[in-house]
Amino acid sequence: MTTWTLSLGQQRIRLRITPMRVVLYLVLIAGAFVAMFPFIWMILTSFKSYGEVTAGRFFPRELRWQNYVEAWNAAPFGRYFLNSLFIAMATIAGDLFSGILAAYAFARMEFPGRNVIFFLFLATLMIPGELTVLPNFLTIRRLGWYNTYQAQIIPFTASVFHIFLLRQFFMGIPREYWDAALLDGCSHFRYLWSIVVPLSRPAVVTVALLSFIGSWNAFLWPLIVTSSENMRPIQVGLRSFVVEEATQTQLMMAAATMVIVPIIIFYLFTQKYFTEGLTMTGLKG
Amino acid sequence: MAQTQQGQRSRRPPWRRGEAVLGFLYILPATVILGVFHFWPMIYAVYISLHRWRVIKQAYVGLANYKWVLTNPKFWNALKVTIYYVIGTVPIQLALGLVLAYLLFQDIKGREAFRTIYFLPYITSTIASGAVFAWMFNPQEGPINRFLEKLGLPPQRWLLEPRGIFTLLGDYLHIPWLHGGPSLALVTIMIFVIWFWVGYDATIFLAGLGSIPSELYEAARIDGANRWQLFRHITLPLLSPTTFFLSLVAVIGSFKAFNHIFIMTDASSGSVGGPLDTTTTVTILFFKNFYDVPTYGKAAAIAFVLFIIILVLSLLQNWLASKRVFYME
Amino acid sequence: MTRKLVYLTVALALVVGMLAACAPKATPTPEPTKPPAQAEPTKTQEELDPISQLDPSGQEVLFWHVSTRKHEKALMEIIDGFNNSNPYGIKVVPEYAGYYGDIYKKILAGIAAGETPDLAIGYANQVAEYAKAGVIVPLDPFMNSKKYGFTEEEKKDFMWNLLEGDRRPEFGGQYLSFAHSRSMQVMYYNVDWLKEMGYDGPPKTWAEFKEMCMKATDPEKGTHGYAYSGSASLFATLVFTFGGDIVTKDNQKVAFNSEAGLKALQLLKDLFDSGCAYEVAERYGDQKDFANRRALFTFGSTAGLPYYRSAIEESEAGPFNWDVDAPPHETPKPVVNVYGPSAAIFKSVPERELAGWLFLKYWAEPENVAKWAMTANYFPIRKSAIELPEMQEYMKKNPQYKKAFTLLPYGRMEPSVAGYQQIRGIIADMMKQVIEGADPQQALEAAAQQAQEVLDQNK
Repeated sequence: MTTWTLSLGQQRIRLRITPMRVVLYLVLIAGAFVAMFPFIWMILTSFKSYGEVTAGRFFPRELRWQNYVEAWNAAPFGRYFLNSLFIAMATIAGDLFSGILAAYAFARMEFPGRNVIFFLFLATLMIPGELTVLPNFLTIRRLGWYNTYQAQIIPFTASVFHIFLLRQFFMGIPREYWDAALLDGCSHFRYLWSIVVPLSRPAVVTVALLSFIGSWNAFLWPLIVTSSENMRPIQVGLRSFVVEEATQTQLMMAAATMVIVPIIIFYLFTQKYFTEGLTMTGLKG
Repeated sequence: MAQTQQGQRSRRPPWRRGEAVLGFLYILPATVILGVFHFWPMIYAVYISLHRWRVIKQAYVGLANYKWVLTNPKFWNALKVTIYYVIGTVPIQLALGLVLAYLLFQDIKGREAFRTIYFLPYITSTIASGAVFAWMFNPQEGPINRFLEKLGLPPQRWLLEPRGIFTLLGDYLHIPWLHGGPSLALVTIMIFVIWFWVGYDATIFLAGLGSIPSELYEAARIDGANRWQLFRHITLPLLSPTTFFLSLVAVIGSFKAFNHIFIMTDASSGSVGGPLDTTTTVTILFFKNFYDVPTYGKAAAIAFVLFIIILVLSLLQNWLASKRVFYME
Repeated sequence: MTRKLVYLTVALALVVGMLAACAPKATPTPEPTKPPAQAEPTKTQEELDPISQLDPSGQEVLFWHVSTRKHEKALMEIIDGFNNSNPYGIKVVPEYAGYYGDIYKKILAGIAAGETPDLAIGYANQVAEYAKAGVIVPLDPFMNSKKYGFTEEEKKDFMWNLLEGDRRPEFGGQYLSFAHSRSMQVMYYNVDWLKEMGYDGPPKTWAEFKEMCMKATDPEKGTHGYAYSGSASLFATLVFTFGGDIVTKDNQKVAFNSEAGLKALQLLKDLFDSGCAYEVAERYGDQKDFANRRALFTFGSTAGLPYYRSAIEESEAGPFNWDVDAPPHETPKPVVNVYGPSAAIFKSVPERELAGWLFLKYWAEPENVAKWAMTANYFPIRKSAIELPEMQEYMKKNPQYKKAFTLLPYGRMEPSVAGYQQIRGIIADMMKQVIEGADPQQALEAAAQQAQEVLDQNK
């Protein structure tokens, strides 16, 4: 009954259409439907009228684009978008810089206390983030960073999880490359940036994407450390919308769609590297 | 096949001292940031947890806050809810993720498209997707109950239902001894969690599958192994580092679960962690003691008890992994 | 393009990193803490009214609020009006600080950091929490100040029963906050539907209420008498209508574990057991069901009136006649639960505190409270505001608002002790337990005990 077979490396065997394959595709399509359904539902709802929402209609009778106009005009979303974009980009830059260096050190360098420090790093993963809000707020105040971009950027320019991911990836790069580079008189710094990072492009993109997601979705922290409208990011706008327009589900969904779409676009652009990276070496210990 | 344990070192580099300095230099930026914004708050939080601290610092109380946590039925209830949550989400999401990854790994058309779609839930903000989910499970207007009705099944109250799923099942099937279990409200949240993570797990599993050398399969097939045997004796063991990684992430993530529970229970009924505390995980309990009632000392104590639990679990997992996980070099 | 972007990012990271690597990491030196503001105003011969001696000229008042959009616009108009007209050159600087839960978190963090706004919006129980941290200025000296306070005539114009929650027995009976408008919890009912069933008016007692609910309930059509949305405010409403109270007048003891409390829970249980009430699954779900003729009655805030109106106009069940009234009651007179946010002044320097007060006072002028009330569909706390032509006009357009207005004299405020947020949770859980089948007496006693513990902890 092996009419469908594994695709292993370059070995591909042409396949016939069999009941097994039909089932395979059905399962995959069903999975895709489940994954996408909430988004479909969200977008459909964002085009409905209030009456259609409360009556529980599945499809809108017409596409009410004015829901988007109304949601957009409800808050300075344009400014929020720019703020979020800038904060996210700066966060990615800092996160990658600190993360790549640290991950490389943990993966390939020998120094006393390396494992203990790495373990301490990992331990911070286990603390509920909310706990750090109050002390960090005090720190931000002391640094004089209240209501600034850096207050929303600097605390996120190092992530233990991202260091962990990069380290896993770097460890998958064969040791022989380093030995060869060493023979050529290559320094750690040059080796890292001219060999390890290019080889790890997918992992780097993965971390950039995760960093972007985290930054784009941040809510409580920006709310607390900002005081003026022109410093605020997008989620704060969305949240006030969700709370105040709780009855206007269609506007809420329009706003949610507007906030989600940029992240999906960013993902679609990067997903090739993203998955390539994971596929290339996997996450070996 | 060369299998070595993780900790095993290769030969020492010749310039040990210089490399040590360089190593410290490399971890410096990350250490400074983590030190200021992660370690320092942790130390400060320990200090808070030793005080009666209601918005502002009051008396030093020693370990009284910890005693309050450990003798509080609400804490033990929250721990029970958290354990339900871990058991109800981690194995299922890993299994589903593996199945999808395995199917995707076959020679199929549109693999990229499927993978992209499966991953979508992971990248969206939980503020948005949690609200959408709460609304999908709305008993009156949501599509889920309408679907159940079409199938001839009784509509459910989902996020409002504090009764255990086994109680509901027992009532429906007339099995009197069947009762208890996580509330249907918690199960609804678990469904969200599984939806959220399966694509992520599948993507990472797929990467893991891709890293298994095809020669191994070929060799085994020549020896006459069937597909199940291939899966059982090659795929699963060689995937174990990936499985370990994912289960670690999932368990830690479960213990810290917060955003979506907050959003979903708040959106459905305005009672965070409700109905009747059946979705109050330890983190939600922490949050309630931090903001609803600003008893920072108690909240910090909850956070540290939670920290200890996660730490022990991670060590346990690590220890298990050292026995069971295979690494290839 | 993306690839370039990524490389650019990495390159940027590199450059930044090199710069950072060369420069020694400067350890942040904490700013020297400012000397504490002079808390005690200089004493003068006129000991009784030190406030009148102060000069608020040129003060800047940082005001954290929760308003967005049309509410923010109305608030800005009031603020601009004050900034342009006050003779002292006081400037109020508004800042949006998130919604009620958010502004509360923000202020709590601010208190811990020693930085608070000069003026902020909050619920009275939140203000009580701030006051326990010692950052709130009592308003009585300002209200009674000869120079800057209210005149006797003005004082008579206020409906003080709507400000009862701002006066705190545990802080010597002083006003810790001041409100410019209030809303209340009323019963919404479908006039046409009642008529179809042969009733010509809303229920006056709970027995009538249940009878009507039973008649309206039809599982075939999916209709119910009462769309229930549980909350501590609803419980307060019920307890009030049975003649009880939530906490004692001095805010020291739990009072809902009384006969009135028990009757309230038994009523809920009865309505659910008989199948004529059901719980809605989302906030404002009752409003939707009411608009879609799935429920005959709901209880809700008067602030929801415009939302009910537009929901009913837009609903597929078509527009119908509806109205609001006081909840059914077992007391001789009707009673309505009144609530709403207030504004509080934070400790700074006496001059700035006074400047904050002058703004609150300006805001309390009839035209301003009227404008503010109409924007939020709240009710002004001043009798004279109602006489204004714009208010009269508004009431003509909104008959339900006018109706609700007649209920104001029956208003009674929900308690606002520190820790009430926690007690609200306890009460909500108690209600949920009862509608899930728990014994009312037991649930009541357990909840009262927990609530008393909270009150004791807050002493």
